[in-house]
Parts: sequence; structure tokens; C-alpha cells
Amino acid sequence: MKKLKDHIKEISQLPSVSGFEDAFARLLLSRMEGRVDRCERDTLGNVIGVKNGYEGSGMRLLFEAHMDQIGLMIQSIEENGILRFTGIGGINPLTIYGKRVRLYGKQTVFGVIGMKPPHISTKEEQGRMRPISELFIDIGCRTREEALTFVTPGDTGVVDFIPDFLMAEHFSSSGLDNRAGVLTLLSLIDLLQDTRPIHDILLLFAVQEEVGLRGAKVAGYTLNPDVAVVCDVTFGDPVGNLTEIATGKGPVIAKGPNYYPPLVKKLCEIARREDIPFQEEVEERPGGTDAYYLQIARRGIYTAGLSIPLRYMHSPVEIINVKDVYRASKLMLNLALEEKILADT
Amino acid sequence: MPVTIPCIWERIVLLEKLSNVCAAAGDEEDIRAAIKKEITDCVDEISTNPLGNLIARKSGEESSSSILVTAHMDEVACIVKSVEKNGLIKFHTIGGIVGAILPGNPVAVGRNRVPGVVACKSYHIMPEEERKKVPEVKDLCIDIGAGSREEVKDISCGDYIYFRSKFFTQNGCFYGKAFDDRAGCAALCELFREYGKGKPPLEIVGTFCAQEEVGLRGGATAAFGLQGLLFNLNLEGTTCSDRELKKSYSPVTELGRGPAITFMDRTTITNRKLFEFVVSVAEKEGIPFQLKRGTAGGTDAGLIHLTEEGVPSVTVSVPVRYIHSPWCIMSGEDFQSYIALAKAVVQEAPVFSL
Amino acid sequence: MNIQGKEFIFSEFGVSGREEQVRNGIEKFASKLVDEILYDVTGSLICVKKSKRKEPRRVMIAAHMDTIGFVATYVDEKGFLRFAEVGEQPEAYLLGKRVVFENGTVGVIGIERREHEKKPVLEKMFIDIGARSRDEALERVKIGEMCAVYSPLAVTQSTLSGGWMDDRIGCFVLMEVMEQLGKTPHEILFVFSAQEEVGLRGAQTSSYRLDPDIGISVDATASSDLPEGERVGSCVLGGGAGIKIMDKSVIVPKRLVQHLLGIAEKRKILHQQDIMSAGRTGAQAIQLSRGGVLTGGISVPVRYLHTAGEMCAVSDVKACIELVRAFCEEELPI
Repeated sequence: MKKLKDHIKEISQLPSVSGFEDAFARLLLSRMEGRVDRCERDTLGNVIGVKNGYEGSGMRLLFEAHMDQIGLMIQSIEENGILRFTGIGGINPLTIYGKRVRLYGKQTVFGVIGMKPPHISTKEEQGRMRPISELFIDIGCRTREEALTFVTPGDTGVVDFIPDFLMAEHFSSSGLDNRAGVLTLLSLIDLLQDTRPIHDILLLFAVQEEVGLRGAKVAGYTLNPDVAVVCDVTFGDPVGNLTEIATGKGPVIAKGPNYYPPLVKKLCEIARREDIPFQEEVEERPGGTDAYYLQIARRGIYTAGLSIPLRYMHSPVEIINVKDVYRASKLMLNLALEEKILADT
Repeated sequence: MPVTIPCIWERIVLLEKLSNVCAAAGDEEDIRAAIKKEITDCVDEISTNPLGNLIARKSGEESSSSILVTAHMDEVACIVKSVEKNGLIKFHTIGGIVGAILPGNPVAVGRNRVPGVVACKSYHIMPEEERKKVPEVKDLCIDIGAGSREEVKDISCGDYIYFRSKFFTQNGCFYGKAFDDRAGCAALCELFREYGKGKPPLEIVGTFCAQEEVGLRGGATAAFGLQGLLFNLNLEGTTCSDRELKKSYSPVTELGRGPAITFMDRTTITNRKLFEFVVSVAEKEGIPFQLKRGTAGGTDAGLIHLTEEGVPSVTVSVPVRYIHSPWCIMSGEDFQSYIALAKAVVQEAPVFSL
Repeated sequence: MNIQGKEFIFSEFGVSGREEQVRNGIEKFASKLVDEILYDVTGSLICVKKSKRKEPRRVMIAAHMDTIGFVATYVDEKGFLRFAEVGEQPEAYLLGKRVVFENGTVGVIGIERREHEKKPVLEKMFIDIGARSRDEALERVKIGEMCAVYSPLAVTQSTLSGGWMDDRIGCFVLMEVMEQLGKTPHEILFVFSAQEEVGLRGAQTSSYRLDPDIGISVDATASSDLPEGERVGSCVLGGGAGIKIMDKSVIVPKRLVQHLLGIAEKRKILHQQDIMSAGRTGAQAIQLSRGGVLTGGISVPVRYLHTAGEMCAVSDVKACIELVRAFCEEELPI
């Protein structure tokens, strides 16, 4: 668990905006070096690691987590030096008003998403949510020329945040959707170190999930595993949640048409056997995670979904419980070590 | 070539059997078993794929080409979201069900088919505004008679909930649930039985698709890897609004005017040559037919026709009134013509080319 | 700009799924300029210019030849046609428009009541072809037939408008490149894709079939330069060839963007960045084909997209032609 906590802080600092995951991908590759038999990046930038099993004996078992996060892109620069921007992935304007942002231009630059103060806003203006197209970023420059020395349209950025350990093993940061999943896979890689599963273990850190599950679509075609377990995040909010899922009570095993029932049953059995606390959630319609495309790659793949409960999704102050990440990776480890994962296939 | 020509009564029995089975996206075990029983004697091989599709193959006289015939096995239903502290059950819908038709229905919950009802607030105690509003699924619940969560045994989240309508006939019409698309499944079974122990003119790959109602999931994988496909014939059930709309609006299809051929829907624009081919087969055989006069709705053809390098696909549907509700109505004659058209299309398929 | 010999591209009928007429025109044009012509199952036209190299890189350049339009779904007793849209269109731009069917029949789009004009919806509209009864209407237009809004091409010194610029201007660019292409070591696959407006369908099946090494989609992009206008994108008319960075459907990898910028600078082609908060192009279908393909976009900025008045700048079109051509001739970033 201590190792996990060390991993978290480092990982949460490096950006990986959808479509611009290079730096983060390099970090993951370096983490996998020497711990898997082979690792590489594909055309779209997905990071893939392979740990070979016993030739011909087992299945091809894939564990997946998307490594990209939502962010923003500078679209244009006005004459007076302010920056106009657009969102990459589901950015909620409510979470960015008045926030500080980090822009990755020629150098890393801080900016502020400007907001009219209450003193001079009308009651009506204060009550209205402004869409992103009406917002702007102020980096303190007075002209377009000055701004262009720091940033260019096309540069990306994220809302700035302070990663913090909170009480009861909770951790807060931006981008925990899906750093939580990435950490689970990294923890799994650690746990797999002194084991020799019969199955081929494939690890997929997918790109561009936040803009349409794109990395998973092409990786599913190339890798075509027998079984895929997708690790993403799900709502664990204490207020306003439609379910009773909470952080700290264990990873969430998903049920529904997107998940193969015998595989789901197997995961629940293993969790009970190994005393790993877990929660259950129903997704009545496929969609929203990479499992959507992985399940229908080529002739079809048996899929399961294991999610980390998370509070305040897509805000700069997302919260997860580190214990849930560790438990999820333990559950995955035990699945990987099972000789027979699917009864009749 | 000895061929079994089933009498009309057998087809109705088949439709009854299949439509009474409870099976929805992700829970198609029972319908797969039922279909397997019907066709196991007249096909060469049967298999399933990870989505749950049931794939039956029957080799033909001509070995170089084949036809893919599809129908989906899943019906619209509900799924348990949670059991509340007071013993009531919260649920989601699986597939498109309008909230308005849910309250007041008897349902069967879980593998043990525990009987329950979709709670319906008494009209007498409803405030004025609430009477006018369409209820949202998230506000509805199912009552199985339990007084608390502890009393509810053997029902957990993820269990499926089905309507309890049972098939019957009256005045030349069929009444029941799941005609979308057990009618198509029945037609596909009939297609295999038509050739019996003999051989169709070309190989038939018959795929009973799973999970159509939640996003054409079985259809996404149905055509992958199939070689030599001439085209796909997709058998469906479709909207029939001939009782509801004003005269200047399209009923989409009408009961009693025969199976409907689709020229375009939300997910497919039927290849012109294939569309004209099906129309010409219907005309040649004297089978009554109509066009689906509306473009709403997606079908498995939508993903099949774009698989790999693409395969031309056409959807032929039987008109179903009150589709996606507990009680659907279908015309007996339409059902017969529907099967006849499917058979004729397969029989003529070898002459089709793009 | 001289468009002689290519005017047909702005006037031939070709609504999604019914592109035969425009496809025949393009095929006739291309047959003398390329080595092989193929059709794909969805209706796309593929024109292959082979390379003399043994194992050349295969470059797919795609533009869609289908236009948005409408399909007749029902004829009522009085001879009025009810219809559905083929491709997304803003309802406000439809009232009173003239439409032309594949067989030349002309009609007008009307709406049931004046009060519906404030918030027009398709369900309340109909097409009037002047028939007095259902039978008379069916003699001229069959159920399932398609039509497009009548938008004749208008050419001025500096602009082109009408003529279904989205994406016939992309097709025009491809045709010009086909004519002007110089020496190149690569195999160039000019794809005029079908059914793009209903879901990038032709681009999907043709990419899968061709399995190219690299792809460029040539499409129209929104021009954000209207008076007090909303900012949906970063392009303006006259700003040059749009080099796509991102839209709602695709994020172009940095290395390909840099490559295109480099070529544009080297050959002194006026260019601008195309960053859109909305919009979908065939580039997505190519990029996500099979295991993934390195794909980018070169865009012609167009005002009033999906209306009869689509307008672009001649200088931008010329810049796009030069940039696409340069891309095909230079070494590739793979």
C-alpha cells in the first residue's frame, strides 16, 4: 500500500490530455520496463505490455485502463492577449470558473479563467451558467504578440489542482478519472512480479477514452484477447448519488449486458473467497467505458468491469480511496492466477 | 428433394413458444435453448459467440457463396437496480420502454420468476399536476409483497424483470409480448426447417443476435470473418401506428398489408439494387408487401452492413402494433407472408449481384 | 478560378446512399487520370494512382461525394409528401426551400400552420410537388426517393457558393490534385466516399478495405467569421487551407500536424489552424480503422454549413489544392 501511495503522487502530477498522452505514456513504459516481457505503443498511442504465460495452455487475458484525462485546448488569441479555448472531453463549465489553469506551451504557463466579480455582475448574470465559448483564459499578457511568445493555438492544458492525502486513506487530485485505473494496473504489475500465471497477461493503457473510447476500439481489434477486464471509475458520491456506492467499501463489480455473467460471477466468487470487500452496480446499457468497444471487437470478447468509486467526477478535486485501488488489483491478481477463468470455453 | 412444408398451425405454435420465453439483453440463455431445440435437426452446426449470438450454419448446393440471415433474440424488459430498505425494488429499463406503459403491470422477477407488480399510485391520492405527468422510470418501483429488504430472498441487483403476457390468438390476429423480434426468430427457424434434411441453394448462416435492444451489440459481431457473403437479410418486427395517427401522417406500416421492406432507417440506407431485388422477388411470387414508410429506429443491419469491407443488407419486418409494450398485436396473414417472403428471398438469392 | 470541365461536381445529384449520378460523373473524369477504379460496397468510388516503387507507401486522400437531403416517406391522400432528413440539417433553413428529386421533379417545403414557423419541426413539414391526389403524386415520386435542396452554384472573383460545398468542394480539390499531381513515389488512393452525412459509412468500409498507411480527409469546416458571430472554430474565409488540429470526432497526432505545417511553410502556402468545438469528418473513420491509421485533415473553411448558401473563398480552395498535392508528392512522416 505504501508503494501505491508513492506511485500516486508522482503519477497525478503528469498530464495526459486525450490525444496528447506522450509524456505520460513514456512514464508508463519506463514503469513496465523489466517487469513485463514486451511493451510498446501502437499507432494511436495506446501503451501495451505483455507478460507471457505457458505457451498454448491458458487464455489471453487483458486488463485495461484508459490513461487519458479531460483537458482544454487553446483555440485562438484575441488582440488584447486573452486566450479563447475549447474543452477536450466532458468539461463542465461549472468546475472551471475562476480556476487556475496550467498550459503546456513552449513552457508551462499558469493562467486564470476570468470571471466577473459579484460587485459588478447583475443578479441575472450571477445566476447564469456561461458556456465555454464565452469564457477566456488570462495569462497576464497585454497583446497577442506577447501571448504568442508563451503559447500557441493548439496547445493543451488542464485545470490546476493540489494533490493531497485526506483522512481515512482518501486521496484528492485532478485526473483520478482514470489515474485510479492506471494505478490499479500498476499495482497489479507489482503483484504479478513473483508469479507465473498460465495465461498470457496483456496490459492495455488506452488513449482517448474521454473523447469517444477511441484507443480501446483499435486496440481491441489488434489485441483481440479472449477475456478483457476494464478498470475505470464510477460514482461514489456521498450526496446526490443514484446508488449506494461509496468510496472505501471496495471496488465495484459491474453487471449488465456489457459484462459476461459467468465472468462477473467468477469475480464475485473470488472476492468472497479472498475476503476482498466489493460492491455491485448495474449498467443497463453498454456505454460510458472502454468495455463498450472491447466487448464487440472482431467476433466478440468476454468482458468484465471493475471500477473504483470516485467522488466529484470531472472536477479538479476528485477523491478516491487508495484501499479500493489496492483491493481491485488484488482481485485482478487472483483472477489472473485462476486456472479456469471461464467454465465452458 | 423431400421437403417438410409445415402447416400453418405449426408456425403459430412456434411463435407462441418463442414469444412466451423470457429473455432480454444479456440474459438470453432460455431463448437460445428454445431455438436450439427447434433447429438442431435441420442445421449442420450450431455455436455461440461471446456476445451471446446463436449461430447456425447449413451448407448449400453452391459452396462458394452464402447468405447471412439475422433476427434478434432479446425483448425489452427491466433489470433490478436495488432492493430498497422498505422491500420495494428499484429498476432500470433494458431497451426502449416508455415510462407511461409501466405502472400497473404484473411482472416476473429474477431466475425464479418471482411474481410482482409495477406499483401504480392510486388515482384518488394523486395531486392534480402529477396526474398529467408521464412517470419517470427512476420514480417507479416493483412490489413483490415484501415489507423490508431482509424479507427479499434470491433477488439482487442485475436480476431481470419480464412482462407476463402470454400468447393467444383472436380473430386472425396474434396477441402477446416480444413479437419484436421473436417473429423474426420464428421465421428464421422456419427457413431452416423449410430445407429440412435437404440443401438450400446457397449456404445459410443464420445468426440469432443477442442484445439488439441495447445498441445492436450482437449485430456488431455477427458478420465478422464471414467469407463469400452475398448479402444480409435481417428479419425484424417494426412499428405499426395505423390506429393512432391523423390521416396526413405516416403510420409507418399498416396491419394486414404484408411484410414491410425498409429503404432507410436510422442506421442503414438499403443498397438500391438489393432493395429492388427484394421488391421484385415479392412481386414475382405474388407476396403482398408494403414499404416501411418512416426512417426512425435502428436495426442490426446498421452494424452488419458496415462490418469489415461492408456487406449489402436489407431489413424485412412484420408490422407489430404497440411494439415495446406488454401487449403487441400482429396479423396472422402478415406473419405468413413475412415467412413466405423470407423463404423466397433466400431461394432467389444466388441470382443477386451488386 | 477556372472550373471548366468540373462544374458537374457542384450540380450532379448525389444524396447519401443514392450517389450514382455524381459517381458516374467523377468516374468519367478520373478514368483518364488514374490507373485503376474500384467501387466499395457502400457506394464509394476509389481511384488508384499506382506507383513505380516495389512496395510503395499507400496514401488515402478522401472527400465525401454525398450531400444532405431528404427522403420521401409517405404520400397523403391529397398528394402531399411527408419526409425525413438524410443527414442533419437545421430546421430553420428549410421553410420555403425548393427541392429537386433524383428524377428532376421539383417541390417546395411547406409547413402546416404559421404558428409552427417560430419553432419549426420536421414532423409538421411536407413537400408539395403540385400533385392533386396521392395517385398523381406517386406517378412522379415514389416512396423512398430522395431529394436535395436546390442550390445552384454561384461564382464570383473571390468566392464560390451554393453547389453543396460540403463536401463537393473537397471532391473538387481531389479532382484538381488528380490533374495536377506531379511525380510521387507513393501510391495515391483518391477516395470519393459515400454516405458520410449519415455516419461516415463509406469512409469506414473503404478504409478497412484499403488499409492505407496514412490518410487525409478533405472536408469543409465551419468558418467562424460572421458579424457578432459565435466562435465554433478557429478558421476564417481567406485565412488559407485549414490544417486540422481537432474536431469533435478526431484529434490529429502532433507529428502529422507539424508535418503539414512544415510543408505549407516550405511551399509558401497560406494556411490556418482548424480547431473545432463541434463537427465530425471522415478522418475519424480512417483513424479508427482496424488497428489505427495515422490520419489528418485539410479543410476548406465554409460559411453557412448545411444550407443552400454554403460559401467558401477561392484563395482557400487553391491553397488546399496546393497543400494536398504537396502532401502527396513529399516524403511521409512514417
